[in-house]
Amino acid sequence: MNKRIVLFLALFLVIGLAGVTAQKITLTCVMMAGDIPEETQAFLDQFSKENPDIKIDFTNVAQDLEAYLQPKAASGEMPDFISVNGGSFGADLVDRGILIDLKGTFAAKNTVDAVKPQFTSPKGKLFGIAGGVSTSLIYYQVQAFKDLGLTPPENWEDFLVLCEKIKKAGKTAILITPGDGTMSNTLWSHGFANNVVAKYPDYVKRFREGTMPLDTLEFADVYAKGKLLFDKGYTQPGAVSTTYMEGNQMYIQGQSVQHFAGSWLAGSLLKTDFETGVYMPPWNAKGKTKIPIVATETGWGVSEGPHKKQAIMLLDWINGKGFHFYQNARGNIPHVKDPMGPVMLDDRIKTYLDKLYSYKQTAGLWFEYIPAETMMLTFQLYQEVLTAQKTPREAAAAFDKAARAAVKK
Amino acid sequence: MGLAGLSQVQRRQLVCFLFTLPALAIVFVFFLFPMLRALLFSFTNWDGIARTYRWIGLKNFQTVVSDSSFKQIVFNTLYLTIIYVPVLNVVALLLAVGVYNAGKAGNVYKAMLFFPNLLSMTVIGLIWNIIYRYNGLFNQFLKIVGLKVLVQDWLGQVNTVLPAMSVTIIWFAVGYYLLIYLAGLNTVPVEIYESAEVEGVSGWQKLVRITIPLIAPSITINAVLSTIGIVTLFDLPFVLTRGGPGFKSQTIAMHVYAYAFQQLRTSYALALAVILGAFAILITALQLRFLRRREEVIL
Repeated sequence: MNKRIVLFLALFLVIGLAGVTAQKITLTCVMMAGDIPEETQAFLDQFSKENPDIKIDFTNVAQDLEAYLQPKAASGEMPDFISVNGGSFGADLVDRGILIDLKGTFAAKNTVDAVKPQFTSPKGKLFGIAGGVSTSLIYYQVQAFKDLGLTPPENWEDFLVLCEKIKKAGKTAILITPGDGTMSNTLWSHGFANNVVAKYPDYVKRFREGTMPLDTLEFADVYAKGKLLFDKGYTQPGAVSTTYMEGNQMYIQGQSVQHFAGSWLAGSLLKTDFETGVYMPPWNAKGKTKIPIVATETGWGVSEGPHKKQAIMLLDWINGKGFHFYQNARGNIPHVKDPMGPVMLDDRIKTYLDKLYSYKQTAGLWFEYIPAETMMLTFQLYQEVLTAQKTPREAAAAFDKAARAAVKK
Repeated sequence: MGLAGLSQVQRRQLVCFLFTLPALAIVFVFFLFPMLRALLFSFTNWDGIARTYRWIGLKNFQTVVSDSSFKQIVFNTLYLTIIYVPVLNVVALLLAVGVYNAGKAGNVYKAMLFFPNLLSMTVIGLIWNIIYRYNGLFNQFLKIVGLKVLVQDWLGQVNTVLPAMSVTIIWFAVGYYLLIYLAGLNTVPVEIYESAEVEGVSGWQKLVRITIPLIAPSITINAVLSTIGIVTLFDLPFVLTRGGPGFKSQTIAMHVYAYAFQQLRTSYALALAVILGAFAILITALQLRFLRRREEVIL
């Protein structure tokens, strides 16, 4: 009788434990998906469908990802799975043990090596997997170009001539978005690439060491170029306060002949009612070789915590079997070696990429190399220059001071 | 000795103290303790995440005050305070007098004027961002009424961003302060107004000689509350302008956020927060001193 009771209790315990372990795990997931929130929810739902014991609690952070995550890191409440940008913020978190080293995961093995350095900390830890290869380019209305007899320019001087012709035709030549930090992806990064990287190819190392000279005419010209476009009336009315989402909508509505934006928007900007083409931003001087941007998109990281195993499962899925769900929604440039599914990449982007990859010298996007403390300054100084609060040289000097102070700290 | 040794008065005081203990505990845990910790950390090099830190004295305060944007953010905060507090209180008072005399329709006006206060500042900022856009409602309205010459980038210009923001804040807050003025107006004996009418006193004189002096306590409350509100303003400028163009609409509170979460310089943020707190306390103390004296003279 006693044996039966013990057996029954043991069986009861086993079933109970099984029940406990079979309970759903809720994975907290913070992702930067301001432009594709529904699609992001849809592919996370697909993951949950394929992994019924994992429920995803998804929070969409449209902007200011680092500002959202910093207090969570400070209070020990990091989400299990996060979006993370290449650069110093993520590097700092992995070196503190808040994010895990992703070397050895399937996601890391299936990612091309070219997009790993930006997500590698000074201590050699891989804190994130890139969300794609990114670049910024100029989207343009093909018919408008044909009507005005224009062809994509190859240098800055020809670009100004083109803008003047568009302006004379009574149209907005180019959309810029200084209202928030996204202009740093376009005017700032291309200006920096063509003016500064050309002279200092070891710019990443110099930024880390605090020896990057920025109080220079070359760097001041990064701001001067934008100021010139603005002062000459080539940009849209109300440009200074135009934000990223607003700018994208304005182009889709046909309010401008050209839009300077990222490749991660190809999914939406190439599906306009009018035919859209793309070309490489000609921020190089006549006679000089262009230095285009080849960078990483916002990627993903996993926090140290009780659910890191499940978070790694999600990471491996997004960068493996589930990759095409994400990529098809975005229409962005894949970073994986084997997409394991159909990739939707517009022929215009494919052609653009063939040309892009032929360039020997390229540069990253701003957030991949500037100190985290100076990130907001890139567009704040731009706004000050556009509204004549500072000259381009004063803006360069201010940024130089801030970048050196950040490294000293 | 125990409770038995206490007098009845002392026992009552002890009981009262015990009843206030939960509230005091909440105030201490959620307000005083974090405030004291913030004050302590403002004298250290704590980066917001690390478990260790070092005492560095006044270095954070020196850095913050000597920052090139410090003068601008203090100017912006003072500008908003000087414009917002008097304008808001004058508008709220005049509207309160109008609503008070509107009879039954006054309830409808009260509801309409208080409605914006029910929304969060974030929602207000988003709504007015759309209104102020170049292709937004306000510019469209100006074009329709034949004032195309006034169409401009309200939030993207140095000389229009703060006035535009002030209008938004006043629109949001006027209903709240109107209710406080209405409460004050209800305490004024009607007989005084009746006597004044018999004497042939004009509406303006009634307002200036009777209403305003007799609702002095309401004016004090509103002046102090609106000052504290504007000095610590963060959410509206963050959503409406993100402090731009440049730092032109960045308030001190916004800069605390920028230091802490955008520049990852937590100790600077805490130092600036201490400066902001001291500034708010000083202005409030001066206001109370001046307005209370005025109340005593009048009443």
